[in-house]
Amino acid sequence: MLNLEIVTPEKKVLSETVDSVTIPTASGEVGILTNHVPLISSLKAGVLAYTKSGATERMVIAGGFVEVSQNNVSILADVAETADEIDVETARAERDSLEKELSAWKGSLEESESERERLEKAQAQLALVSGR
Amino acid sequence: MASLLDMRRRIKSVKNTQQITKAMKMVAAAKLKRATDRVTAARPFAKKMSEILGNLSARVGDEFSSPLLTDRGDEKYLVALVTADKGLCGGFNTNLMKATQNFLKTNAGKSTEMIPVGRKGRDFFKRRQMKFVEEYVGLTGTGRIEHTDAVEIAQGIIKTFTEDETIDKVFLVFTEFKTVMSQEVKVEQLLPIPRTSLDETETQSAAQAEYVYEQPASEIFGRLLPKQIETQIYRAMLESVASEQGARMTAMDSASKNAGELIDTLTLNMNRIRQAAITKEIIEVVSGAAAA
Repeated sequence: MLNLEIVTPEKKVLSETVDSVTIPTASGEVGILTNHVPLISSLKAGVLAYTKSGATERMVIAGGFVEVSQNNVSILADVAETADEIDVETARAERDSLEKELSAWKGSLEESESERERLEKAQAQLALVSGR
Repeated sequence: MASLLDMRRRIKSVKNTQQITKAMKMVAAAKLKRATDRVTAARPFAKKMSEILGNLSARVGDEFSSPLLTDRGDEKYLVALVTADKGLCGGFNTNLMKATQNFLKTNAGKSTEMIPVGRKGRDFFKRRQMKFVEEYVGLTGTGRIEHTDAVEIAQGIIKTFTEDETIDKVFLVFTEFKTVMSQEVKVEQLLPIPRTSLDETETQSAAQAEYVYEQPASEIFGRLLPKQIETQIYRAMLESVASEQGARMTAMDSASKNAGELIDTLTLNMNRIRQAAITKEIIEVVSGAAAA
């Protein structure tokens, strides 16, 4: 069993005992089970999934960090939303405008980092909503 | 002596004022509740953050260098001052201005620039010809601080600090919320981030197991530092809003009480005048009758 805790700067989003959790980190997806080795990683925008007694719940998280120690999974994210909280229209508009902006991007790859992060977040939001 | 009508008018006007102060007290109380809830809600994140930072700080040690950590000297200061947008909150803003001026006085030898957050602080120091790097007004007025606002301010400060290398230190002046009755003005060093503040949690985390770092520890550390500044500013703003509402509630409460006392004395006086007029009339009638 794992204690999953998701906090954003504004509030504690979730605090639950779960069986497993899959986290989108900067180096790819990481699946965490009981007795996972202590771990710290930065997150990337994506869909987080956790299973609790057979049922899988999903959330979009963006920006932040994860810390795993002694069966405690702490996620410090800038954004954490369930499918119900996502505004599809806004996310779609955001994705479209960012895609346009990035395809016409003149500057270097580093300069577009924040735009790419926002695009990833919008994509993750849409993926979560459509996957429901 | 004031006439009966004058007294009535005064009582009526004081009553009106009392109604307003009472209403403001109620509004402040409701806003205070929301503000303190938000302060509490923001705590877990800040706590976790400093835990991880303490961990990483111990791990990366002194080899890691970042402009946000490096001491630069002691010549030029930048002061971020968090005040309210509105007045009528007792000594809230005055205390902040006093503390800031004291700070400026004790550091009179340094050159200082300012980033005011809140209208009151901006107006006060604008009149005193302070140089502003940037100003943020209209954020605290609504009583709802968005995290994105804090991020914007933090990123502005970090940008100014990294680009303008003449700035040696950045300080944050804000009001810490203790209870409704007591608030305390705090002056904290924001940048460069004092190493000691990072190491505070070191002792407790040293007992924990070695972490596996998915990315190099220094990279994570480097990304965490600006986040720490954001969190600090967000917290300062939340505390400030809670303090402001607390101070306003207390101020309006005593104003309502004072108005009540004033009404009591005025009513007493009015009754005296009324009684005097009646007595005078009776005497006139009686002496008129006696003369006849």
